[in-house]
Amino acid sequence: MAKDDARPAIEVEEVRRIAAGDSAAFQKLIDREAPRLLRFAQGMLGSLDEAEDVVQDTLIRLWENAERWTPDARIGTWLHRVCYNRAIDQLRRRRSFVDDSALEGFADESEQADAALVRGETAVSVREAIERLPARQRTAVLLFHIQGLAQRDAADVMSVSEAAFESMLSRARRQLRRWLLESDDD
Amino acid sequence: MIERNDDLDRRLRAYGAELDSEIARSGAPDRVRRNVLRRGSADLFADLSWRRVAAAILVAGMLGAAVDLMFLDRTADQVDVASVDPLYAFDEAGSQ
Repeated sequence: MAKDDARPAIEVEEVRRIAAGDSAAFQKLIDREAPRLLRFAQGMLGSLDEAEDVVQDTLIRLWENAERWTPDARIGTWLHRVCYNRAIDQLRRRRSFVDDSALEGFADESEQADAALVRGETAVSVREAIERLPARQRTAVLLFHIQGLAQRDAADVMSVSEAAFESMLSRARRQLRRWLLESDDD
Repeated sequence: MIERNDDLDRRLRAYGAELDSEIARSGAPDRVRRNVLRRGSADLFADLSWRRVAAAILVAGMLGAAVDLMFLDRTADQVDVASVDPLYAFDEAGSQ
């Protein structure tokens, strides 16, 4: 516990140094956080090129706003939140990929995925199954299972209550299990 | 068969490891670091507006004058002024 308590103080000092223009401190943070953020952004966008752009924007945002950063959240959680918002913006630009209703509410796109299965695309890997999830359910799976964020932090990243996050994650897991089970049966 | 949560969790872990190895192979973290640091440095220089540069020159001039007066003990009447008049040579020639 002592280690967890000490961590924010270390982060505050790290961000203070970055705000003072310490490029070595910033480089250290990039080396630590960029691979994690890339994994998250690639999972959300399904494209490494776009993920790189989103992660670069996220880290530049920290560099520009380090002076105003307040330690009300862990730096990793804050970065995930910025990265998530950037990725959602990117998805919105791709109108053909996902529509706003899927982003704003809990609209279920599983019918599209079911249709894909009916068309014969039955060999569904877990990757394809995740990509077929609605954006918010996909995000919930990525944050909790792939990024290893605590449920409270993941809910914070998505600006939803813990109960709403739990519900999204549960629906996503149910859907994934169903698709993968059908795929395995074939 | 995906029948238990353990199986789904195992597949999700494998998916995460797959993403990690793809990202490492692609060299994306190095590109991100390079581009971010380059953009960060550009922002740093962009902050150097003409007002800041002008203020720095003014402060440097004032400091120079202060050092001149305080440490070298030079007052206005001790300052040597060199006047360079390009027509002076012609005037001299004309008067001769």
